[in-house]
Amino acid sequence: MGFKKVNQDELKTNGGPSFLGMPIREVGKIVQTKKREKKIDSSSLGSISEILILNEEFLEYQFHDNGKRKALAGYGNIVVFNNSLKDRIWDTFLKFTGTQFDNQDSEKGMHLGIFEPNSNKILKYEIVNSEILPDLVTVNESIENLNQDIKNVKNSDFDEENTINDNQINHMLLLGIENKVKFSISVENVSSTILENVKLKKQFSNNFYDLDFKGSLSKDIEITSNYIEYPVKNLNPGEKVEIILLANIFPKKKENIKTGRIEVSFNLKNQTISEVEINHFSAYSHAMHAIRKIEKEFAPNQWDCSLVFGNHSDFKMKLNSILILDKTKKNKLLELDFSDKVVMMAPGESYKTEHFDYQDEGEPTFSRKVDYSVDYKVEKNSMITVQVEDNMFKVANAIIKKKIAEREIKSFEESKVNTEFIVNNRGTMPIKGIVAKERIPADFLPPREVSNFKFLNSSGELKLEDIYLRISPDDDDPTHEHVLELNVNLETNHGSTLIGVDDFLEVKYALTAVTPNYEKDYDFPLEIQSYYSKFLESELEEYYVITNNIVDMEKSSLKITHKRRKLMIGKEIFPGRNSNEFAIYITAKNGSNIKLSDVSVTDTFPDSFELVSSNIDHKLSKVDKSGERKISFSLDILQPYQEREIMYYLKNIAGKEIRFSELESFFIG
Amino acid sequence: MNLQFYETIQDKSKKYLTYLIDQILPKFTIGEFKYFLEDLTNNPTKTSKGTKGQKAKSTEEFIKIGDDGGKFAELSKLDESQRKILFQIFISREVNDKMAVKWRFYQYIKYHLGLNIKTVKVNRASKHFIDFIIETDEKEIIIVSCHDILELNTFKEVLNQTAEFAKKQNLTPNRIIFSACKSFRNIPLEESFKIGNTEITPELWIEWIEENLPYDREDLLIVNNSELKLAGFNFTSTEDLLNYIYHSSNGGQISIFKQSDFFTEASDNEAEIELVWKGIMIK
Repeated sequence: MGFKKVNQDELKTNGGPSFLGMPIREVGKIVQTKKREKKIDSSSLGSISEILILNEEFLEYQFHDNGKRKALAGYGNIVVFNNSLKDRIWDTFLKFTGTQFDNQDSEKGMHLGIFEPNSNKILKYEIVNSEILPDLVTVNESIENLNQDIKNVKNSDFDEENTINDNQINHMLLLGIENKVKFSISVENVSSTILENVKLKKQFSNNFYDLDFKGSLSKDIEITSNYIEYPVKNLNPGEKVEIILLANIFPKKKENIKTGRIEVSFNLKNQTISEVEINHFSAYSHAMHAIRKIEKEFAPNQWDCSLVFGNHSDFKMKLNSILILDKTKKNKLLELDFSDKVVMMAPGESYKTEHFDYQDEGEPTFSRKVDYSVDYKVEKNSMITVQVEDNMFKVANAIIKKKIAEREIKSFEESKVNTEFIVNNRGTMPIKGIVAKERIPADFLPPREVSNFKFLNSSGELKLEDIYLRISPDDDDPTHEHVLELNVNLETNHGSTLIGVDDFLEVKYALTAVTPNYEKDYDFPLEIQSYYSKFLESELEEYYVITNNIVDMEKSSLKITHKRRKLMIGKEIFPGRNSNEFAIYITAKNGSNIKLSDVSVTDTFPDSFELVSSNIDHKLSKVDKSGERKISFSLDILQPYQEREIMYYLKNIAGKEIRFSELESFFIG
Repeated sequence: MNLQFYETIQDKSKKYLTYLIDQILPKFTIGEFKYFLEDLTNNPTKTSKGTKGQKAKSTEEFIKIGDDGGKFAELSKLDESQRKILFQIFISREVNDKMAVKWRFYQYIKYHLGLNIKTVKVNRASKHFIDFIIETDEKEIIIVSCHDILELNTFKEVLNQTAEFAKKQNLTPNRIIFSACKSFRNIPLEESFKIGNTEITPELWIEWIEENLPYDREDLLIVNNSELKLAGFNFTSTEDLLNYIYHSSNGGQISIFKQSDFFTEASDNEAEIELVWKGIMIK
């Protein structure tokens, strides 16, 4: 009916059915006692049992994605197993050393007391001086977006290796389309020992699909929806294993996506990483030692003596030394030191010393000291995990718009065509700079000075200095095509970006239409190359370049119209209700496709008439020398193909002769 | 056949069950067994102490137990249900309610080496939070509260009620022991609790069943040259067994052997004896 008093630590950490809830793993605690969980290697009777000291270390290396070590934490267990099913050991003493102990008391040794049969005690230590421990592997990951729309451009030479080590790479995905991404991962053993049971695991976020392993698949490779695990049996010193993984992704939202962590785990057999060493172990078990004393048959009081040591345990036992003194403890009768030649005894075996003579009238008594210990075996093992942090894929997306202010211009007349294009950054990655290329057709000329360009973003007008303009061919001849190339924020090596996330760049400039022909169609195709820095916060001039063509987006063309005025003014006279009354009806019709403004219509009528009224405002002049009056009407606007009516009424002044012919005359102005 | 569950044993005869029950250790005295049976039925007999018509005081719920001179209880006259519950509590240990824990704990403290028990008082009330009050030779008062599963709320409630009880009875406990079959991990064992002017850190004693015991409950355990013969089902850990042997033997060189399946299998062959433990017990 056993009960056990448990303390707070045991309550929280012990496994087993007596405690409800999840146990907490504690490290750095000293001595935990429990029954051996490992399979017993030997039976309790009839064969040899052993004391096993197992020194196991568990370390976790953490690396940044650029390969630099971030942290190393771990702990070790020294587990002393008594594998015997029947024999206890006692007065157990363990001594170990290592740089991992701030408290050097461990060098003085620890008394671990009694071990019941088939039990163990665990000594835990935390690895505190982790900074002095070497790296065992280097893990490198190279990520490449295989989308053909992404070009790599390098403006300067630099050391590729330094680039990887010292700079954080911007990984890019294109928004709204499928990206095929290639992950090249290498693990190199930089230690001097064989790494066993290596497992390389690459994690993928849920956004990825169609995970694939490039190379010959074996049954040991595990491919799931969110990780691929590649096992390697052994990795020799200096040996490197490389794998290539492929995965597809279709970014739908403007958000960064994790590249996925890498985890490498392996074992170091018979080795610990820290410098913890088991220096000494001793323990007693069942043994018998006795001095056999036989009085010589023909020599009274002369005794033939020897010491017998019997191993009554089922452990191997090591005899270290024997010292036999007389009863006064002053005279050494036998001293044996086995440090040079170890005496090892199997279970049940006995050791008998050589005989020594002793003279005593009574039965002799001796003082003896026998130094012995059970034998033990030390095993070491290290389980290492290497975690490599993941990075972020940023998504790139630029929307290009182009506007020409004048959708139509007149043919054969020189005019300015105000043009603007906008690059809108809709991704999560700033645009370092752009190269804009516009084909200017014949009959038009591009601006030839940078000062003719105006740059704006969400903060207003930009004063940019890093701008280069190239016109080819570099002339003012409108009879052939020109190519305008504008290079913004890319020539000078500096860290600034041109278009931030959620910002835009608007470029305004005016083309000159020299002799546009309405019989031709003119297009102004624009190509924008957006440059994204390949490295984060670096001045290295290596870029991802994405090209957008305005032809693909919004066709920009200019309509050249043969614009000429075409106006018809008609006049018609209608007799009024009375015989002396007349209505004059004038129609002004804009027969052209252009808008006419400030159209003035002037009519004359003889002074024998007086004006009664008009349907629009008028101006009436005095009678001139020829005896006529002028009446003027003003029309502000005549829209293309619009017709407007002007009507006024005249009445014959009583007594004056009516001159009809003069009523019919008119003119316009 | 094994002794894991009452329902699965094939032989439920009175003779066999009485034989098994008779192996339960430590043996119940007549007085202990009377209180145990009362607890089974929740029907305490009236105490002869106190004046007629006087209301029983709360301390009178606690009756001295185990002081009846070592006369062992007669187990052959038990009825079937009594034999069954005894089997289930002490042999198969398949019953783990508060009552089972309480009496297994009582059996345990009878040979526990760390307690020099002077008196034990058992609570006979049907609803109670203190099960035993132990007084030691060192004049320590130990309050024991038994539970099937110890939860945080129960733990706190028992502490508060113990404080009230101690105040009422003018009692100053030195220790509070919670004994339980299982416990939640959130019991604050390191927090001390004030009863009167005394700070007490509660103790948790869990019923401990050792994994990979070198013997089974069906085995007969033989100490030295048949100095003691014990049924394996009495002990749930090696330490438990060694404590009992230390308590019941003269000490010295001790060898413990087992005869496997002694209580469940009849065999005409010469029984095999295996060594389980050997060592020295100095008394």
